[in-house]
Amino acid sequence: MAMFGTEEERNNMEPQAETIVGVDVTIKGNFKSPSNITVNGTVKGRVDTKTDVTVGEKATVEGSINAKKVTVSGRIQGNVEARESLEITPTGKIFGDITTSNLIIQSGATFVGKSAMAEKGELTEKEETEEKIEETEDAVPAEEELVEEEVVQ
Amino acid sequence: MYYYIFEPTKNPKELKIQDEIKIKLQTLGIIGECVTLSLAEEPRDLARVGLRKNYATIVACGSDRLINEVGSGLIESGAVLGAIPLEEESSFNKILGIKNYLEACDILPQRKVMTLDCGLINSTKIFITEVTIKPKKELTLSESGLIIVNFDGNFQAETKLCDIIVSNVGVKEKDTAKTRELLVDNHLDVFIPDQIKETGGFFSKLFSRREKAEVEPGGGSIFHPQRISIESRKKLITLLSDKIIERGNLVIKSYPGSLKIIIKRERPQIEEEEGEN
Repeated sequence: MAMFGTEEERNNMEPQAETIVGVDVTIKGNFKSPSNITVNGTVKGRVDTKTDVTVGEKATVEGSINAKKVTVSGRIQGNVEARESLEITPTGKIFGDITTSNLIIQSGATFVGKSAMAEKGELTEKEETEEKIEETEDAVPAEEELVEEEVVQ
Repeated sequence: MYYYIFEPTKNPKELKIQDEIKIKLQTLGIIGECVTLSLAEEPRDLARVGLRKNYATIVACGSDRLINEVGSGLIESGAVLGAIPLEEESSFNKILGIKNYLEACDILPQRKVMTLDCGLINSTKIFITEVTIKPKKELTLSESGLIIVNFDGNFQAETKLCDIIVSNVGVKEKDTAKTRELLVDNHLDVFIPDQIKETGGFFSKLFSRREKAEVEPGGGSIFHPQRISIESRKKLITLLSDKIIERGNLVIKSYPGSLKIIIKRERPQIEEEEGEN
């Protein structure tokens, strides 16, 4: 079995393929995957992955998200912790607190909550303030305005 | 020595192919005892007959269903499964790394054996490739039904009744190397298609007919659990190819390292030298 690893290695193997929640599916419970997750349907519970989460335009997440990179085009009612980056696209809506080291909010996006910026790899050292522009200057491109607490289309 | 289980032929073309295979096996010097499945026999039972006769290699020649069922008779027996798939789009082609049945014959004497995971249904039924779970009767528009799929006891997916594919070889995976990785990863692949869009008019709905029902291309959910349970209030059936192998709610889990199968020996990759022309 050398070619395919030992039994212990096999038991510890994690699937590398993407996990997708389709538009007609509702997930309930703690949704955990070692690989990338794309949500196009509804998730009622926590979403957790070591890699990336994409929340599609028609998707709804009612719970917190913990991932490396998070891209939001749908609606999230819960806190988001993105270890590497968080992007809210023009159709994206987040109602909850966010923590990340690189925040991108595109024009037209909705964000209602508190944000905390963290150094890369040091998410535990959060410096939580209430939407001060100084916080976002390093991470957000100059043309994006983050002065307002709520960016509504 | 090899014990060959052939599927009954349905037409002269299939008979001709079987004859061609037997000649090929003779040429390769690996022809052994050949039996043809009768309608009353289960492939799994016939595989066990081969085991009782002390054959160490049991070869299934025919459809994916036959190969799956013969393989299920060899679980944890120590015997090795050989496969000569005859379906054009056979899932075993990508597992074995072959293009046609003659190549399947060629790899048998090479004896490259791979130990793979299988899928275990309700602790009794085995599949190597994939099964489909669907409602026993197609629902009309006036009916509604939900299906609940629980993944590893952590979370559950709820959707309208539909055909769910539980695969051991990936969903629409074409690549042999990736397929073989999936066969030993101790996980299943579960595909739940997006719902059928009803495009029928008022009268179609009134008479509960489905018209121009289409699944959105590429749409659906994919999960990679080790164990799932599937429940519905509606009656469910589980199909291996076109045969019902289980009825009702079910639990399916990955059964790691449970079967040995002969695969094509991959050629070592030779790095091409960059030469000047």
